[in-house]
Amino acid sequence: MKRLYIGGLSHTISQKDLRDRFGKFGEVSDVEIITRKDESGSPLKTFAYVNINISDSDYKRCVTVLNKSKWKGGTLQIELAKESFLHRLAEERQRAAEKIQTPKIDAKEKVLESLKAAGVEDFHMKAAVPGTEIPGHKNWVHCHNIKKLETEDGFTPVSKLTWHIDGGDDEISKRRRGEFPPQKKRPTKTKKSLDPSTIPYSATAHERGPTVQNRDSAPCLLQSRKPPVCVLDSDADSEDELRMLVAQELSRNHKPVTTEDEGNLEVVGDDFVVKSNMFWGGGESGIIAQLGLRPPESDEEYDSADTDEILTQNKNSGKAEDLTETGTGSNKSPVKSKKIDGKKPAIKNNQTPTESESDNDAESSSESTDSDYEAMMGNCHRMELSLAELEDLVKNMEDKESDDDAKAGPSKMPKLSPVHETGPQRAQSKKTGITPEDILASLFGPDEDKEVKKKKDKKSCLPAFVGTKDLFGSIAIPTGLKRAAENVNYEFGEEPKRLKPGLKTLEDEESSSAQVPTLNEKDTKVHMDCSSDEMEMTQEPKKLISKPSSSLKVNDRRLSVPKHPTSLPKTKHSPRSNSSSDEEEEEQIVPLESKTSNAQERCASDSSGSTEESETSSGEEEEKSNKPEAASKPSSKQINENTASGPKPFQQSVLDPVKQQQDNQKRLAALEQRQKESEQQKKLIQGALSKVDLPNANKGKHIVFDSDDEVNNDSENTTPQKVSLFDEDSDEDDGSGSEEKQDLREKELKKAGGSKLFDSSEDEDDGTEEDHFKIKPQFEGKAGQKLMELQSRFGTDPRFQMDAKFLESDEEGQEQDIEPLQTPGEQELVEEKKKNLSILQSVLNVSIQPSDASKGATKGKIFKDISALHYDPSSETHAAFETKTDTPKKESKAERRKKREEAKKLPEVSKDIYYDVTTDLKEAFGTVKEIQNEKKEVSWDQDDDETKEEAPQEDMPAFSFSSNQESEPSSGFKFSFFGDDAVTKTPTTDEYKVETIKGAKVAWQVDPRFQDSSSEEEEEEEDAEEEKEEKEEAALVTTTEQPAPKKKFFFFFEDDIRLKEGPRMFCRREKLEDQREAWEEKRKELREDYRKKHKDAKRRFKMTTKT
Amino acid sequence: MRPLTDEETKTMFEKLSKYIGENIKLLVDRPDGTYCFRLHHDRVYYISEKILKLATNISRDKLVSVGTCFGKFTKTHKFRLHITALDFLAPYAKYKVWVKPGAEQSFLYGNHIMKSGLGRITENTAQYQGVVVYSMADVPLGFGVAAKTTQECRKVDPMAIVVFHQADVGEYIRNEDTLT
Repeated sequence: MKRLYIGGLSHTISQKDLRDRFGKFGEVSDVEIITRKDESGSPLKTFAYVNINISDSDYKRCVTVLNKSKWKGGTLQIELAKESFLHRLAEERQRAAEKIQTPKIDAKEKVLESLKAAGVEDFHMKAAVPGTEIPGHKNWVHCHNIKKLETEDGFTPVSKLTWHIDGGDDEISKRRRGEFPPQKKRPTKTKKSLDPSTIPYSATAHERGPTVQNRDSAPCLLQSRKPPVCVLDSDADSEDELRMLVAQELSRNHKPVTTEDEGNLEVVGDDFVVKSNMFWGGGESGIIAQLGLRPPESDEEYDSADTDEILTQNKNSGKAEDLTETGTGSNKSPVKSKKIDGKKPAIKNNQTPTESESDNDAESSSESTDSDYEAMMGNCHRMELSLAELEDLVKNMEDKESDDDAKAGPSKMPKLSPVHETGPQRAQSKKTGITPEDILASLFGPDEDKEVKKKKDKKSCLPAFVGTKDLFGSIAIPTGLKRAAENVNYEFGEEPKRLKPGLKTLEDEESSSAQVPTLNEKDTKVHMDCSSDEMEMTQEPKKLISKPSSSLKVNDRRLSVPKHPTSLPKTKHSPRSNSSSDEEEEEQIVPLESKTSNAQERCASDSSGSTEESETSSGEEEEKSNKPEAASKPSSKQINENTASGPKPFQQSVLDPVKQQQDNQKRLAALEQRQKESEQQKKLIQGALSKVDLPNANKGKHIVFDSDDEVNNDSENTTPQKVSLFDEDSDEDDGSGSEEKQDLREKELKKAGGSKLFDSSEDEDDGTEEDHFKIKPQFEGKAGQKLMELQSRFGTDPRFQMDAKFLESDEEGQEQDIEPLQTPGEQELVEEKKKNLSILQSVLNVSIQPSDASKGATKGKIFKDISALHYDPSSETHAAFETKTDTPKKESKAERRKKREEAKKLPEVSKDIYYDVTTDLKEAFGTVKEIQNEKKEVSWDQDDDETKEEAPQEDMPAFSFSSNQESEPSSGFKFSFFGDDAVTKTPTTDEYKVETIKGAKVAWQVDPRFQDSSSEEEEEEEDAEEEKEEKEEAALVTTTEQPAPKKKFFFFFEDDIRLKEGPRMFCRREKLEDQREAWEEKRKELREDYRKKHKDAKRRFKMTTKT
Repeated sequence: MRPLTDEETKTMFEKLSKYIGENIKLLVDRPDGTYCFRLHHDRVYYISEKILKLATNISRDKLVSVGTCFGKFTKTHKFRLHITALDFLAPYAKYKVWVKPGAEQSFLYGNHIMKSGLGRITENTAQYQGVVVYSMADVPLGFGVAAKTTQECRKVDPMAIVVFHQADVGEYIRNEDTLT
């Protein structure tokens, strides 16, 4: 079918014309003629679209024939047109519809096929469907499991499988709905039973479960909490697919689901990675542990493999190992359970009691916890729906060898379900401030609350769930403790009724043994171990034995809520001891079913394959939730034990219950021993840690928030040393700060088991967080930096944390620093260099700066970009850029003072000299003359000493003379002038002495001659000149300035000869007439001479001419 | 290999000072590390401390050369500069002579520089002053001794020798075996 554009048509063309025209080439299905008209309505252009069923060859022919051909007054133009949008739309819709339908079917089938190939028969998609549902927690797990199976099989690529699953979800969900009625019946029953039993969680969950809406609502509530869990469950591969699925399921849950998925994917991925890196040391170990564990799991199902191995080992080893394992499991579990109980379980307890009470009322919303439980319950409903199928499957499975696996699977499944619950709860606890308080309350409260709880427990059907939780140790342990004790009592009391007599006896014995460990921890442990074992065991037997019994059980449950919890503990013992007890098993099954998620269904259905899945899922779940991890791990061990011992006990139990009893007793005894040991260890560690904790507590005291829990804390053994910043911290710290640490250590000690490597719980996180932010003294200083570098190599791995031990002593570091500078070789070189420089200096006759200084200078000459230079007031080198305004002022002040002082001082000194000088006036006068004569004889260049010696002597006369000047009238103006100077300048004489002498030399040499010449001419004034000379000398001695003015001012002396002779030169001595006479006489003589000479010249000329 | 004696150091410095004057200090006292002169087989090597340490691992008879050879002491204990020292003399040279392109080859074959080949000369060059010879492209070609002062060079006839040849980079080829 092609759509052709035909242009250049005449306006009068009709559809029929076109049909006829193009009908030759193919079947014309539709013709659309379009005419463009201008404003006036006259047609401008006409073209048509023709839908024609035409082959390519025909099309080519059509184009060649008709294109550009003239037809009815127009030139045809034929082109291939785009498909009409309507047609396209229709097609797209059709495709979409096809897409939606086809993949679903294919997915299912493929999955089934793959499962079959894997050896899984009777796999019901229904069972898988509940898991795949997005809204529930468990959906993720299911997808994951399926994926793993496929990867193992290798038949279909993972991506395809996941895709198919996704596609199939819708149908599956639909099928679910369609199939619901039978399932609904059960949930309704359970509801009834549960409601009366006052199990709030279960009741709410059940109620919502039957109706899809309820499920949806539950997830919505859970969304905020889920993200971590979802992320954990869903691998990166499946995320996109899941999103697609979610989008497809818009009708139901779109928004919530999508938001959940997206939020989960984005946030979790990033956060987790970071955290893992950040806190691997143990800060937020839970998440980290999860992260660390998952990747392997997702890829290769390590957990499952491990569990399988363990199972196999357990089987091989036999009972003895089972016992030991149980012991180990119990030990570990109790510890964890204790810890957990203290913290998170406490939350549940706090809430649960109220809830349980309110449960009777019906659906009192305990909010977060309720929502979680609801979500759980929703899953449970699904489980229930599938239970019928599962039971069938189980029956089939019984024949097969996979009984053990199947048992393990279900057992794991229940674990999984609690894990899921715990996951959200944890999320809540972390996210919500309420939780910490709850935790505190739970921590401190359990003892006090026990009584109340017991009452509640009696009333509440939940205990069973709690029990399971306890078993898994993650959440409900606190309640579990109380409840456990209660349950045990109840169970024992009630069980006998239900159980067959033999069984009852066995149970009673067991219960007694269980009761013996009165301690909460023991109870929890017992619960944990027993519960897990029982759960696993019970589920299978239930399934195997009788569905009708389940109905009966349901009825029983309805009748008595306490029975359910009791049933669980009982079942624990019973399955091992009394695998035959259908009632108990049935009862157990019911809670198990309710609790156990889709995984159980699958397990039941797929038995072998499902078991693996369930195991893997359980492993994942464990990883997901810190607490659940601890719980789950022990549980897994227990499961293994159960699997190993479980099946055997079944058979054996039937054969010889007595042996089982004995075994149980032994186990209990072992558990007790281990508990005691652990307690002792705890005490020891507490004692040791109490000291350690004190400083922390002090640190934490800074901020105190009002916490109701503190009161509780006081009641508790552990003294609330720490007042933490936040309620959570305070709760944990106060309540179990020491305990937590102990627990942590214990966990570490027990890690040897291998399963607890990643036990890290919030408790640990909180406890260690403080440590993380402490200032670590060993990292300070240079050596500390080295340490830090070292530490960074190891990451935050706690095993390689650097203590102060690793600190290198500072001395060593300093020595190292110094050594490089002073290595002997270098010293030699330095010396050599110095020597060379000295030689160089001698060679060049130039002073060369010492090497070091030059070194520094050269180093300092590194290029600096002046443009980039910024004034830094803090750096000393930049002080050069500062203009110092202050200092000069100060100096000026100082100088002024000094000057003033000097001014004051100097006159005093001058006075002294003045008076001294005046005394020797005449002597000095006489001596001066002699000295002057001597001076004239001696060359002045010779000795400075003489001049120096003379100078002082000359000073004396000078002063004397100056003093005399005033008195002497001769040369009045000179002396007056000079005298003034002398007087003023006397003070400075001392200072200038040395310098002036040199100046005196020059002046002296010049002046004497001059004076001599003058003195020779005028001997009359010798005295005056001598005086002048003396003056000059004095002046020279005193100041250099004086001689210069002398020369200038006194160049001409009074009565100077030159002045007298000079004018004579310009005056006529003889009279004018005399001169004329003399001139005339002389002129005559000159004329005669001239005439003679003229005649002679004529003669000569004639003679020459003649010749 | 041993450090120079004082006498040797003095003679060497005297020789070097003819070319680079006070700038010897920059060779002896370098900011970028410790360098020293070492005598090995009558030759003076200018070695960084690092290489010196490494060279200690080599026996005396096996060690052919280390660092930069500045020159050698003759049997009469005079110091003779080698062309290998040019790299250190050129940058610090005080007096320089530029040779015309036509005269480059002549100089590189070991001939003295005639007035005709003299392209440029540092003013105030004294007679018998050590000079570094450059090509007109400022490529150091060798070194020698000024035969005439700058003033005299102006008056002298074109074929007069202006610079006595001492060493040129052609020796790297001509005296390859003895230049170590």
